[in-house]
Amino acid sequence: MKTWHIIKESALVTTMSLILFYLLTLAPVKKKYYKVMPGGVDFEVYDLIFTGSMKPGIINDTNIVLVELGDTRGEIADQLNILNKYHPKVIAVDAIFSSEGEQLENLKMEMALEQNDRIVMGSLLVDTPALHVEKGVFSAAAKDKVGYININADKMTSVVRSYYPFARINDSMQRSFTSEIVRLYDDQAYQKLRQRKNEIEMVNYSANLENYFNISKEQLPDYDSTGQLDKLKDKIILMGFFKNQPPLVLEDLHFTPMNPVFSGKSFPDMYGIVIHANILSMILSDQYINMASKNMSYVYAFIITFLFSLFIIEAHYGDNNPRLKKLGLIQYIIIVLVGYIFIQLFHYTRYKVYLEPIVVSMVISIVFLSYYKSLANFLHKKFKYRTIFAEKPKT
Amino acid sequence: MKLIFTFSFFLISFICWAQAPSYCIYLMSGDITVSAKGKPAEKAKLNQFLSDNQELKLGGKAQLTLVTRESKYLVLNTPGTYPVANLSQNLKNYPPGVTQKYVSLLWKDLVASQDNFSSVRKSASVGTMGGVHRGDDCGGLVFPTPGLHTSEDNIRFTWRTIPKSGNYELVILDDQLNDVLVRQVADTIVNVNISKELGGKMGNFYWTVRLKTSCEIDPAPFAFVTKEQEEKSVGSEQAFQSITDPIQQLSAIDQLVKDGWIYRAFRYFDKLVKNNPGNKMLSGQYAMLLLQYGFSKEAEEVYDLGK
Repeated sequence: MKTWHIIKESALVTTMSLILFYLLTLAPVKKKYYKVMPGGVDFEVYDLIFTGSMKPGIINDTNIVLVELGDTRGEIADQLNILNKYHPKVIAVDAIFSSEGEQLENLKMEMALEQNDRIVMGSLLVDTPALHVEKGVFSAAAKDKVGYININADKMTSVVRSYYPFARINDSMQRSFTSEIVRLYDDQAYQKLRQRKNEIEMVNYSANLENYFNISKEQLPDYDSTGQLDKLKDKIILMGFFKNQPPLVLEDLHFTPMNPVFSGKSFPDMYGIVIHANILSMILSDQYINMASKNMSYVYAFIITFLFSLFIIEAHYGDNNPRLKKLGLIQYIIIVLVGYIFIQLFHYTRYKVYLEPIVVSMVISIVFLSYYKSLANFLHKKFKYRTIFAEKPKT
Repeated sequence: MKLIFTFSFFLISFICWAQAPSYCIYLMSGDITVSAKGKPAEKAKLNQFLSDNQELKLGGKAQLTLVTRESKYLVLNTPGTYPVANLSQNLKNYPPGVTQKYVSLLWKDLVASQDNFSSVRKSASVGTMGGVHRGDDCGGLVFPTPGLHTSEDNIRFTWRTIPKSGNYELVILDDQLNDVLVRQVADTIVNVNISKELGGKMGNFYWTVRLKTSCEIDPAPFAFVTKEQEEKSVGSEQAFQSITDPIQQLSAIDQLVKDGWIYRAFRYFDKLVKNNPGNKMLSGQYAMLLLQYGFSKEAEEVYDLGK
């Protein structure tokens, strides 16, 4: 009978803690509430997996080559002409050409684009006045092989953890920059990406600039003249802004979970083109991050909080007024351990579970228990509600 | 017999594998040389095999991609000298584990109190500053002055003391801004036998001093020419000596300074002062010129000569 009561009351405390957590998430203070994390503003404990995880100077993915984009359309056209000679499988230009520009330079660009029908141009997803894609002036020359270069970050200081592989606009499906590249490079990988049907994909970061073959705009003609570019055959060439010599230049530079400073503020660490390269590496190697659904997270939260509640109610049963400090310490240790277990799970399986319901419901449960205790006693006196808190501890 | 044959096969295979070169040059750009013990340094070549007894030297802005026997790719893009035998360390350099990072996070952000800043005081209090440098000695190159032309074998490099910089690194760069000479120096004056150090190479060069502080000094150009080229550009010493009017001589020296032939100007001024002993005005002007280019000891001697 005692065991049944402990289970019943643990389940009640757990359920109420989770309901309270859910109500908290509906409150308008939700965002601030979530952001109250130790040490920094935009912080997620799973970032630890990526923080400082790259091996400097070791090339991870040899299928992708990064080329620093020229400054003018004429220069980019010259670069495309060089690259076209070596028959890469796809060339992708991570830039927006929205203005009309100079006629002569535009002509050079169009001629370069006409030489190769496997060039993907960047476009931009814009939400004003309504959601639409700005394709730029060369989309026709690129035979409409365009993909939007947006990454999922609401502002420049946000950490880029995810992106939208596809966007539905007026019944037509628009592909992201990387989705369009994959479509041309590896149809099987593209179909796999589509079949996942995820509106948002988390980026499984594996490398920074120095972990990809990268060629600066000065090196490109040098490599061309010395016959070193024959290695570009059948590769993906990503042309975008970066500097392969330090220091980092604050243009198209973003915060990612790979930032060596994992809590607190720091300097942005990854160029946009490298973020696209990481997305491509993830898709081509089929190393996606799988997110547990919110409901599943609540199930995990229920199980863990229930077990924790069992433990503390059992402690209450043995000692009607156990020391809160002792329970708090145990709670702290369990939260740390649970966090560690889920991080390791993510590390080995790339399976990500929202930790907020788990951690917050565990924190709430211990506070909630004291309220529940008073309520249970009140109900016991008034309505003969059966609770272990009304029983005298056994001696 | 079968056993001996198998054993021999494995032994030979093992020996052959051990003898195989460790790396091959896959991509390269910039100034890269390869040297082995007792052999002169040679320019690295594409697809060149590298073995453990060799040493790689990368100049400024050079980038080298190597491929290992296991088809791993390794990129080197920081100027310096790399013994090939030590490159495997780069491949084995494992990043910190998840547990280490998690414990570090817990310690730093949850356990180690920062209320009294004790945990950060040591590292953070002198780590950075909330301001900028202005009017510092960052651009403190003194001599060779930008645009110097000379055929002197020995050039004195002088720069101003830069506080907290530790040792200095004197760097001479070629016209493509690749390092051609890097020398660790404790003092702010160093004489370099430029003819020997550059292996007789002539032409346009740059020089700078690299520091351990945030200061970056823009390289200053100078030209190292043959004696014949110098004669051709500024005329012979006999022609200067044929000028008898000291004012005209001073004017010729002034022109040399303006054109960057500072050493030649020093030589002419030296002769002019010696030919006019006791001329305080001349020795004073010469001393000022020497001081301007950091030759303070020589300036003192010249000034004393005029007394």
